[in-house]
Amino acid sequence: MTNKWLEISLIVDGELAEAVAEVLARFAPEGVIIESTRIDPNGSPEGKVVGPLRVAAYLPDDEQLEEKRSKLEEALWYLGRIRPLPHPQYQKIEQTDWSQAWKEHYQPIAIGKKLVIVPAWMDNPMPARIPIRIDPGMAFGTGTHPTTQLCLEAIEEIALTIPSRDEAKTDFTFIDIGCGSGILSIAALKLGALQALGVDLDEQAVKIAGENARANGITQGLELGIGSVKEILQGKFSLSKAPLVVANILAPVIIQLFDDGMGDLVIPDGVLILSGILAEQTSQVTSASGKYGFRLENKKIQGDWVCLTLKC
Amino acid sequence: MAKKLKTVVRLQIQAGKANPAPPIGPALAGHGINLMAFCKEYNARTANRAGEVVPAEISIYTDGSFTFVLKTPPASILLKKAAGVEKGSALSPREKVGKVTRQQIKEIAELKMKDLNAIDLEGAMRQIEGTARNMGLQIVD
Repeated sequence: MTNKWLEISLIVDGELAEAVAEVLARFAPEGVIIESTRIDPNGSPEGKVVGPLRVAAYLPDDEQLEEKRSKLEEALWYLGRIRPLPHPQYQKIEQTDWSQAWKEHYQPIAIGKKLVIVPAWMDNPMPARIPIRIDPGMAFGTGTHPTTQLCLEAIEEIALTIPSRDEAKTDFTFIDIGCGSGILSIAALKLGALQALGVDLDEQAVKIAGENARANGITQGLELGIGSVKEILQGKFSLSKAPLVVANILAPVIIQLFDDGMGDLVIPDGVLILSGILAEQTSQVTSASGKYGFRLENKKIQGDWVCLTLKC
Repeated sequence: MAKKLKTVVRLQIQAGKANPAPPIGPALAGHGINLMAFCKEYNARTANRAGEVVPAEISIYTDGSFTFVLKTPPASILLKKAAGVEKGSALSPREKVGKVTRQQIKEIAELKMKDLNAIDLEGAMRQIEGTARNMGLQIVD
């Protein structure tokens, strides 16, 4: 396996980008990238891609490099006879441990009005916010994924409607089905929940959730265990109902959990937050929830993902 | 308040084969994106489309978060399939490697309409026709 690569890139307008990408892909079967070079911040609520695009591919720096480069330049020359093309730019790239290199550029993620996800290797740069310490190098529940972020926002919104800790948060308990890294339970406790229960079928997840809780200074109020809806309903844990229940899993699993009795975990007038749902799966989930007496209160969308807030 | 876009990166890669090597590593690591998390999710969502190029469009925000959506295959891949050729011409426009019909162009334009920056179907068809010509494909009625 090669240790060096040659990056070939061209900056072209949008109409030419795909044709150039097609030429590059012939010589770089691992794939091609097309990246925006300019964003108009006023183009839409979140900004809009404007201006030319940068098209790039990577050739392994091996004995075939010069031959490939020559053929690629020839193919680009012919394409340039149809519409003028800029000269390709070349840059040598050293092999890097890309799976770790991204950490150097990682920045904490502020979520909602009060939370910020901060990795273990970094000080909290937003002291006005409540830090959730989670290492984003882990495979799940790291706070970098839209499903987790949407869920955290929804939990925060509900938590902020409950009276402050000094008044009467005695009713604020929390159940997290499929707790993974424990990030949602940790957030609920930091937002004022008196008690949280996190369950997961994966023993390793439960262990990691415990480690994350300790890293976040959670010493009381959190119960973690192996199980799911059935085990909670069987009374294996100290909580069997709560005003706020969350399941950040995948849509087919969520639908199955309704049949397992997930709705019975929510107290009357309580809230059920469901995340991990692809946009096209929304109607399947709302249909399943409707059968058990839940109505849709709010829907959050990020990319392809949807988070539903339901009341019973 | 809506998040603000920092950049948008489109990866044209093989379904189910994302890994941290180039092009994904250098394209995303500099933006602080959790590469393994991205690769794992991309591979899971494209696992049933082995052998296809399934583009992922990644929106990276100024707060460091990101999201991605899967896109329709590149027009060039669809055109090659329609023309029954393995690759485009290296000598286009001098060399023609195959033919596509206007009906095929229309079908591809309809499929890719939502991903193209076109006002209407005619505009989308013109973009697809341009890609076809660039690849050395002749357009016939």
